[in-house]
Amino acid sequence: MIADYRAMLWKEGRELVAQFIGNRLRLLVQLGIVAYFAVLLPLIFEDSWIPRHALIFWVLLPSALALPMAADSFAGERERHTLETLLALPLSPRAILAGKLTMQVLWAWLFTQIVVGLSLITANLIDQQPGVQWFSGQTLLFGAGLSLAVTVFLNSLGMFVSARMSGVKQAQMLLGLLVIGLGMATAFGLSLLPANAALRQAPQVLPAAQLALAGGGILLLISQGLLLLTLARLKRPWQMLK
Amino acid sequence: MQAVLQTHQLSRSFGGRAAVEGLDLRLEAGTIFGLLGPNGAGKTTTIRLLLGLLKPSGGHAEVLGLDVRKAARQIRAQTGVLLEHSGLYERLSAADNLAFAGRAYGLERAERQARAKLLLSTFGLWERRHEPVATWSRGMRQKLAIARALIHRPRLVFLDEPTAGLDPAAAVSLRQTLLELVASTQTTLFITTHNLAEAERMCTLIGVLRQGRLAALGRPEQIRSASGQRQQVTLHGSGFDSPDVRAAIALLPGWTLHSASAQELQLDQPPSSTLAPLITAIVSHGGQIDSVQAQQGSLESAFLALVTPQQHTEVPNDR
Repeated sequence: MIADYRAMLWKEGRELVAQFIGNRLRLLVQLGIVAYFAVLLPLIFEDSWIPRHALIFWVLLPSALALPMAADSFAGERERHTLETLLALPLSPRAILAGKLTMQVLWAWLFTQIVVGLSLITANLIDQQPGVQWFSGQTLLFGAGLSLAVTVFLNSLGMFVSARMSGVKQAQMLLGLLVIGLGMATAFGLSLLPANAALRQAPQVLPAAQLALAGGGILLLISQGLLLLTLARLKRPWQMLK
Repeated sequence: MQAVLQTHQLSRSFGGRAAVEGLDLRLEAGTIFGLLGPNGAGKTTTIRLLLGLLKPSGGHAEVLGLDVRKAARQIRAQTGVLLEHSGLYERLSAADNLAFAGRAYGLERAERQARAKLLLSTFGLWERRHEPVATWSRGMRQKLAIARALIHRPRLVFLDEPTAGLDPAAAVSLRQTLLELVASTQTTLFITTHNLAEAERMCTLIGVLRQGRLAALGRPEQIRSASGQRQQVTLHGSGFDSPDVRAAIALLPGWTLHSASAQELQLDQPPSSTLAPLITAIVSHGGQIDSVQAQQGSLESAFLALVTPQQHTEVPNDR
């Protein structure tokens, strides 16, 4: 299993690097994301960037990075006619899934941390006040943790959808709709609750760290369910090849 | 001799339509087996069943002594495969594609590199190993995909249409390389192909699939004769228009006269017969023979006879 996992991780890593080497447009898009989130937004939000907005983008940025990659994970292999050959190798389905998930999460999460880090540098460079503005240790820990949980969740959801779609575009469209739908359904569901319901009170009553922990935990739990469902499909190659 | 592949009544249907039905097959080590059949006959489905990529609807199959239902991963570890599509990662280089396959088959670094070098050199791809596969011609990609299938020295290799889409020179070169590899390693090859000339040149055993059923199984010459494709005999000489000569030929059992003139006779020879009775009959009745040409019916005509629905030529398997 470990050797299989390492083989998959190696392949996914090489493909990721090759994507950027062989595709200047993709490279430019990534540089655009860096410029937008790490330079432009801190310039726009100025003083409010570090205490408020940076935290929001810290959690939201992984969706912009994770969804396209996750949508491509199996649907892309199917579209490029490599899925059947991959399944015909003696790799364990668990290793295939874990290898893809690890590389996608690593890429989206690390990229997010780098962009957020750069945005903090920009914010400090334009800041007129003395001293360095920074997150507290607890905020740093839970921001990075929640961002990781969001990345894992989005990739798990993406792979779940991608394993069932015949093409990348279909997978991307369905994923986009699902994420928007989930967000709207959550907001709508919360608004239907009575004003004194514990769930609606939570953001005001609970400390941010506890909220991040609870939210991250729920997302990781759902991710586990999605990954198990994808694994069950991978164990039946005839379903994957439909 | 031990069978590397054995199926008994192997079947697979999709929504009530049988793609493979009652397949009985036994291949011994070192065999080059060609599975022929028109589009949709069940060739690719058969390979998928044997690799455990599809679940059989019925019957039983063992590959290298392993049950396809219970030990699909072990089977995949010991076999090499080129499927309908080359399945190469086109953004990666040839060296990376082989390195990934080597890792997936559990080869150590040194062996992986040595095998990649040997195979890429054998197929004439070594110099271009660092180029992305996307920039390569179809023939080069097909060679690389076959090299990938051979990276771990498998005992059995499945090749689904290995020369499809290649120009004649590339196909000949690929066939030659494959034959040399097989000869030096005693690998068993399981090939599906539309190219009958290729099957005739390469394969030691041929199976013809028709609508999922094995319509014939045997050596190429057995397929030809079993399909009713007889040897054609042409004689040149004189006196062939004599009524005595014609009457003598008519009395020969199994011989069929196709066309006749005073100087030329064309006949279908019955299976397992010799030319001696024909020559004796003609000469003893006043005919004079200058030359005799015997031409075997082609595998192509045998194939067409076997797969044409009107002609139900069920051939008893000789294995």
